[in-house]
Amino acid sequence: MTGPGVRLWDGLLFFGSSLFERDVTVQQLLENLDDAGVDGCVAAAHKPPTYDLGAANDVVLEVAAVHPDRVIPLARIDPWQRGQAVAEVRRTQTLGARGVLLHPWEECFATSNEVVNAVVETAGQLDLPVVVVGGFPWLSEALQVADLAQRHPDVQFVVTNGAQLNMSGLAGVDVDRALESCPNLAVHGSGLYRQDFLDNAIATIGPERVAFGSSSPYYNLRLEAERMRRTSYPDDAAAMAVCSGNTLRWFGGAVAS
Amino acid sequence: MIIDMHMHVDELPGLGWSMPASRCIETMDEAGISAAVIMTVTDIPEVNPNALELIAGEMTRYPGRLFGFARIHPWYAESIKVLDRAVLEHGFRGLKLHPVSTLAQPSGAESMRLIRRAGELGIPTLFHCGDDPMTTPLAIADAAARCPEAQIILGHMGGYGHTDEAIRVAELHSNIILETSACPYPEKIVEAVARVGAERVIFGSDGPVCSPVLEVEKIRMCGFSAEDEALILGDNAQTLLGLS
Repeated sequence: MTGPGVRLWDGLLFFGSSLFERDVTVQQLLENLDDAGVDGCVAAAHKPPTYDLGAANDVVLEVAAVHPDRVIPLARIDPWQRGQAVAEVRRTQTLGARGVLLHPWEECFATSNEVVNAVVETAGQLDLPVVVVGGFPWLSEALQVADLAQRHPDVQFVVTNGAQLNMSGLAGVDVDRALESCPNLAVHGSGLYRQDFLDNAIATIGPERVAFGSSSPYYNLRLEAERMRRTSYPDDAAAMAVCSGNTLRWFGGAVAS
Repeated sequence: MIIDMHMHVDELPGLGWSMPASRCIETMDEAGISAAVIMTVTDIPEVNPNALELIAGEMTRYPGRLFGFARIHPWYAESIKVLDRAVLEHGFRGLKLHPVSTLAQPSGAESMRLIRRAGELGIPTLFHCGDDPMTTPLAIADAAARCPEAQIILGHMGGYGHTDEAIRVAELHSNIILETSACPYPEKIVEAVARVGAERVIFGSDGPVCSPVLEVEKIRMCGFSAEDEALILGDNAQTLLGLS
């Protein structure tokens, strides 16, 4: 359980027009943060109805420019765009993007596929962390994400959903192995149904590699914030690291300073 | 009165999972839960021939607080006798089937004879209902359609990716009940109540390793009327367990 002084900073939520009818406006984003008692967020574009990720990235960058105290922008990149994807990483970085988002499920690639390499290498050259939407069968299973992280040991990766979307609990075994084998891999607690996974992860890999990230609106921001507040932390420093400190350290930029 | 319809008591050193009954009671007290249904994670007779005695012992240790569901492997010839013994001798209140651990198709002959017997005994069958093969709502709905006189509970109401299907099959089959444990979508629980009625939605936590406090909070943040919330959190369970 967090103490009263621990602030929450959401490590990932999605924003904008959504191909999958999950639209979130700027006003809704800010209201949702306020409603959940969350100070700010790292935001990435939804996959838009136009399929134009570049334009969607621009919208996120513009919102972050208007609300620099509440929104840190990511660039959403489709590795199948090959050279254009690499160019988009560079373009968005010059416009203020603080990291790269890979969504294997919605962009249809396996994180173990070498098509991802050029994008991640570019992110590494620009010192940008890479957020991977994790847990999807065939595409972003824990060991597939670990495979990517091992190919790029100098890049900081953050995998969402606890790297598991499996209510039998069986995927957790692979997640443990993935986290043990990749010191450059951290994990969000979004949607995690087993509270003991979060508690154990903090105890075994350390609070500096676990972070609050809601993946809202796919998950409920209020519930995910409450999940993090009710997690067992060894001390306030660990709670602050998990709930906001790690995210601001990885992506913070102007907000962190 | 809050009744948790889905908790586990078991020890699985191979997976590092420890779920003692004392931990269930501790987390129930934290969450204000009066009573809970407990079941093992392993099946009887394989891989746990002592599962029945384990749960029966904890029911005796915590009378009025813990009620047992028998988790039985359908493939074994003695499975019907095990269910009868659980219910008639030990007072178990339900049957639990988990096709991930048993590989038994929900509508297969082996599962169906257990489900039918449960119906005859007047107890519900709780399925693990998630995203794995043989556990999806459509797979379990096939069993519900073949045995309309038996009550079928969809534990987790479809896991991460099959929630909409769980609600839809509950609309189609009046003997299906949706159970909320671990479902990460409060708005889908709201939708379920709107579409099938609060009388067919029940609270479960999947504790003690999942947080009963958070699971109760999840139901409360749905904003149900006091009457509907009471049905979901406990009144429906009282009826299902024969406590009212």
